[in-house]
Amino acid sequence: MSTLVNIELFKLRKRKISFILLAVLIGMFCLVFFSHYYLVESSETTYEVLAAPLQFPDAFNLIFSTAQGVGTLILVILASFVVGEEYSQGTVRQMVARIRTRPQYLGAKTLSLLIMALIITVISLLVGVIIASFTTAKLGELSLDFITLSLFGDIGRMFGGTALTLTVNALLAMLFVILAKSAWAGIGAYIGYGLVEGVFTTMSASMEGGWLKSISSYMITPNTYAFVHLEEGGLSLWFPQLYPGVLHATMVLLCWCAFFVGASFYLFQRRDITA
Amino acid sequence: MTVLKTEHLTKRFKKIVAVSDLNLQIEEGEVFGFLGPNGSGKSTTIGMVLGLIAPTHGRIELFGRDIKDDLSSVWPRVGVAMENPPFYPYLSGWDNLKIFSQILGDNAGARMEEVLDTVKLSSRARDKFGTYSQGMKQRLALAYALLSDPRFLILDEPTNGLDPVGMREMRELILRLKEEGKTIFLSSHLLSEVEQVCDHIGIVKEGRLVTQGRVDDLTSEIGLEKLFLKAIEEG
Repeated sequence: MSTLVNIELFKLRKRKISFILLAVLIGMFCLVFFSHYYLVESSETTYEVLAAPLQFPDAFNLIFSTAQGVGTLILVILASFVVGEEYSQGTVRQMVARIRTRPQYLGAKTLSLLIMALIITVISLLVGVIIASFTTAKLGELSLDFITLSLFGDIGRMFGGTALTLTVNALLAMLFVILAKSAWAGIGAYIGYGLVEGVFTTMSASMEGGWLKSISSYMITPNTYAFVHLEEGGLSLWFPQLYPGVLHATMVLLCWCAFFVGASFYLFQRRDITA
Repeated sequence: MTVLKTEHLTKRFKKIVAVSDLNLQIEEGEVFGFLGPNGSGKSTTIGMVLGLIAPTHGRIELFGRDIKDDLSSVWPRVGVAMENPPFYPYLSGWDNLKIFSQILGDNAGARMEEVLDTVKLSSRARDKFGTYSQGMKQRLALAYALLSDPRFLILDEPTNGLDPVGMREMRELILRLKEEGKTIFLSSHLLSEVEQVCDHIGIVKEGRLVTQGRVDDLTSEIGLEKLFLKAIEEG
């Protein structure tokens, strides 16, 4: 299995799209932070409220929420190409014919997606911290006073939640790609699902109560918001009280992960691989 | 020793019967030509042998073992060159072989230079697969098939898209492999190619085997082209 995972990572390193998407990730971080910074600079009345997300420790909210948004987009595209292009290039036949055991082949793909989710989260954190150091210094004073023990706990939760968010979305994309046997069809289906879920979540959030409202707390997106906020102190743009608790969100997202992996493996095992 | 044996092999795709009650037997050292018009079920049969397509009915044996069993001991003895060689276009020929040599293990990696020399692709091995001509792609597919020094080679339309020079080179290569004692299963619709390299043939039509036997015996009275057309028309 480790050989197959290494092969997957080797292929990723050799693809141009990996580096293009990495550049997009860094570019989007710069865009989010510096557009926000421009907004703060051009406004004086709400200076503190607007400036807080650009300064430590609140900046971690913005770092991880940006990582979730942009990272998800990037990992979904990567996951779709990693799995889907094997169909369009026909290499899935070559690989499966040689490996013979399909779970091993798909297991390596799944593990490489998990590794990619971690890598994207780490890169996002590094890029975010570098940019936030700059914005913190520009808007006030850069010191290490904000570092507390509870902050490490918050960062750990946000980091884990972001990696989990990226993973669950990548696995959903993988399932769609396997279903459609095409990268683009998989991306299209993923976008379609996102729209439907968004509409449903908005509708159910506006309801007074009832089972429809409770369903939204078991969907993917509302649970991904549970991780990205500081527990204490600082100003925050986020409203965690609207979202499920961290434990609930973790359990729900892990269940979705298990379902997507199970469905992908079942489909891949059952279906013929034709030219 | 029987290298490949199929018994009542059948594959249905919904209402379409792609392969019907196919019984093949290939002995060690044979070069078996698997002939048939386009859409006759040749690639589906190979797909079933490779484990890519699940048979609806029947069984397949490789080196005396059912392919549903653990094939880890016999599978490295099988080399496959697929139709429309499927490799990663953004990787070089060398990197593509490297990936598959890692899966094959043993000394496959050490054989990379040797097999690239054999198929005369060493000078372009570092170029991306996506830049290769069809002939070079076919040669890389054959290099991949030879990586594990297999005893049994499955070649699916290996001369597809080759120019006359490329076809001759491929034919000479197959004959050389035959002289080395390798068993070869050659799927093709090019009669001249099959006639020149194969000692046994099977002709399929609409998934059914309509003729099977030694080339010399089957073509003693009429040429292969006539035999093929007769089998297709009457079958």
